[in-house]
Amino acid sequence: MLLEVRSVTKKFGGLIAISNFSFVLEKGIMTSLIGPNGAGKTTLFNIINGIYPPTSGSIIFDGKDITGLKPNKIARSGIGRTFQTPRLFNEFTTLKNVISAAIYGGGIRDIREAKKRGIELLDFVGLEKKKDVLAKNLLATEKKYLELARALAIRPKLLLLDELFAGLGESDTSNAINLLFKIKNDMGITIFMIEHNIKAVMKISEKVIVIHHGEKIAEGVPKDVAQNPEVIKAYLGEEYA
Amino acid sequence: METEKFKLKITFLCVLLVVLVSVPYFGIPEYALSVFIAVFIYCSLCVSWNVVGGYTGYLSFGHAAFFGFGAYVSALLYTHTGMPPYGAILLAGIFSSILATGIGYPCLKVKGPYFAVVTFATVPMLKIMFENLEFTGGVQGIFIKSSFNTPTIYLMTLCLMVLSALMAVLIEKSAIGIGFTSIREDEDAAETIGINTSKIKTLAFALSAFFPGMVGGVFSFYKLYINPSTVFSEEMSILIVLFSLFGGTMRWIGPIIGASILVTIDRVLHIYSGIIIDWLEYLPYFKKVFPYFSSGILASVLFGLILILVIIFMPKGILGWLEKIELERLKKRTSGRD
Ligand SMILES: Nc1ncnc2c1ncn2[C@@H]1O[C@H](COP(=O)(O)OP(=O)(O)OP(=O)(O)O)[C@@H](O)[C@H]1O
Ligand SMILES: [Mg+2]
Repeated sequence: MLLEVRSVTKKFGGLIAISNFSFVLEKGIMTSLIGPNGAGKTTLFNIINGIYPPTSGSIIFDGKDITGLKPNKIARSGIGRTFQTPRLFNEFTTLKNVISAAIYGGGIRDIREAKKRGIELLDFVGLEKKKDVLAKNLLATEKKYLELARALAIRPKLLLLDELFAGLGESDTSNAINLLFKIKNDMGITIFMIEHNIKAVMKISEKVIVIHHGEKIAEGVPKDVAQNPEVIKAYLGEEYA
Repeated sequence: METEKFKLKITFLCVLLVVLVSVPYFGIPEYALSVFIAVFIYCSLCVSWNVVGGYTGYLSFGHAAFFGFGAYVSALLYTHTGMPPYGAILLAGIFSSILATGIGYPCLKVKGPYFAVVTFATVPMLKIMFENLEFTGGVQGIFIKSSFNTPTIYLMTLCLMVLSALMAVLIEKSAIGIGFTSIREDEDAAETIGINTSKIKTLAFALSAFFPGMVGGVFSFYKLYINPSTVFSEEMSILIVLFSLFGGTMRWIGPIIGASILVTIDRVLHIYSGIIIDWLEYLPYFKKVFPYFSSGILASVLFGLILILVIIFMPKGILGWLEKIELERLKKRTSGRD
């Protein structure tokens, strides 16, 4: 068991964004989190990686209680993430974006070593030719790849991907799927991702968790979840159930 | 080609340094030396300020606090404990960094305009505190019995300017610099890649206060008399920010360029204020509209104008402007080739 979320609740004032939410992630099991817009997916990620402390409940990662820790501590304990809309260091070059993560999250103190690692990772995501381009000048899809490379540079055990495929075309999506398999199989990193692209979800996840109005409404292997009446209701609305 | 350029730059800087070091031996008049001293002081303040204001993007509007505090620390250590001046000046820097750690830790929890306001408040706060302390001489201040001549003060401030610029260069080249600038770029993203932002911001703030403290320390031996209202100046806090933004905050050279140009303009205006005001008085109604016009007002008006123009036309300062020109030149060259 890599991550355990124990009855986590998050309130924003009167709004209950996440309600008594529990689940576990097993090492090496590709897991997806799906749910309609505003269901609380990103909020759940923000709680796991420490951007928001939960109102109640706890989070156990790799055998340690990480509830309430700062994001930088959580990152260094091995949880990397990407954002729904990329949040890069825009005035840095592509390479420097990855170097910064390799130094701080990856613990590589020597800048030259960090550079080497950065180039390896850019090579991995296919951005080595853009290494000297400022991040702000990258194309939207390149920004997504760069965020992925930067998250990998901290040597995570768990990688949280918030809608990595959103806005990617057909070929980029299949390319990204290949990368995810490599990340899982070759690097031994567990992936937990938020995804709207149901086709991609069904194709690659081994487990799916469904969230609706901040509550967990289903969990299981993709084909069971797809037939779950609660899930169909959540996605298509009451009248189709 | 890159290394050629680098060598050229280093050579230029070395020659400049040799020229600057020898200036006092050319028998240059005292008032000219005082212009240089003012330039060195502000260069030092601005290039240090830039460590927090430029690299981390937290615009401190209270950096005069460290100058004033340093002035008091060195004056007090020298007059009360008989510590030698250089020791007192060094300790002024160290104490100033310690003070900055104390101020920075809580203040850096707020961002943008809130940070600007809380830091702005540190100068009047310290001023009031020192006005009411017995052993610092209250509002009367302190006399410093020492006899450094102006050329020595010149060399001391030049040395501090060089050292503070060197610190900035080293920061820019190191991992710490990457940490600082990542905060300017996106603080939340910096946290998610493992950067302890609250620790590293406080470090930036402490480093940025070190040389201002030492410069204040030298100032005491320069003016030989300090009191709370002269060394704790809100105007100085604002000028530090203005000069740095004018030069450009992306690299160490920006604040140096900004401070050098604007301080020189300010000093020259002072020196020739009589003539300038005589000219201005030829304007019809000038005397009626501005009966109390002085060189100080002239400089303030000019700086205000520059600030407005910079914000509108050069949001990234002179550095950003030069970069844009360079970029356009490159573009033209490459497009010409196709
Ligand atoms: N910082 C915040 N303050 C107040 N409310 C918030 C905050 N963050 C999220 N919310 C609310 O919590 C709910 C869940 O938002 P969240 O962004 O987690 O949804 P999501 O499932 O990621 O949606 P999407 O698919 O659109 O990305 C929404 O109602 C949102 O308005
Ligand atoms: Mg979301």
